[in-house]
Amino acid sequence: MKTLRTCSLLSIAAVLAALTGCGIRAPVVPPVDGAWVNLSAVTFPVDTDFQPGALSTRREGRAESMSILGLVALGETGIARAAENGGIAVVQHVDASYFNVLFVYQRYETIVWGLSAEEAAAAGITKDQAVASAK
Amino acid sequence: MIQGEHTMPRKLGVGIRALLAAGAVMVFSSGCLSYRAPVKPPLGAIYTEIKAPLTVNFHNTPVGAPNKKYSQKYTRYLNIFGYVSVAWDEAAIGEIAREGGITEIAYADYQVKSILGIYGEFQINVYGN
Repeated sequence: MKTLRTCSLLSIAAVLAALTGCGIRAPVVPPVDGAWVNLSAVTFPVDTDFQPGALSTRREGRAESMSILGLVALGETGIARAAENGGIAVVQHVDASYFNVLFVYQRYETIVWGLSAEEAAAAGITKDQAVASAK
Repeated sequence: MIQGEHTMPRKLGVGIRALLAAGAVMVFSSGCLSYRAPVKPPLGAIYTEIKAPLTVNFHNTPVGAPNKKYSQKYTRYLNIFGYVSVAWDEAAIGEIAREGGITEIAYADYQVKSILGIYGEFQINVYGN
């Protein structure tokens, strides 16, 4: 009985922890945090400052982090890791993906689009041009 | 008499458990880190160790080998149940770039480590030449 009560209290604490509004944040976030019973599988833009004609969708790199029960969160969703995973040397655009099952399992992915070093060289994008356009 | 002896410890026990549960809720409630950044993946109330983008505008931005990474600055903080919060140290990009000898910043990201939302470290990584 005592064990049951303790487990109940811990469960309530865990649920409260998961529902204390941690959620996600990005420049654009679809409506994914509005309910306690939440199932989400969405993608959305992180980079909202587009340049005409400057997007190659041939290469894609992803890096993910996850949160379990809203209690433990681990992962690396940085640009460098995502670009490395996709063999990308020049980043042209960044999106993100969010997957959530009842806040028991949440996964956030950074999705990088761009060119490899060879493709950037073939497209005439030198290192100096890339740095200048990044400013 | 015997009944009274048993009732008192039981009440005390329930009270202690309720206090512990309230404490747990308070700890967990303060575990959601109250920082702002353009991109914030889902966090953990007990333990968080994540890295996320800080730059969100990319125009043929170079990543990888040509860039060097410099990150020495942390902001550390202590948060006691959300009522008392102390933060110190520096994490400004200008200072990081100057100390790292970076004159052309390509992009930046950040990483957060937090334990129970009570102690945390916030680090900015600057990439450039």
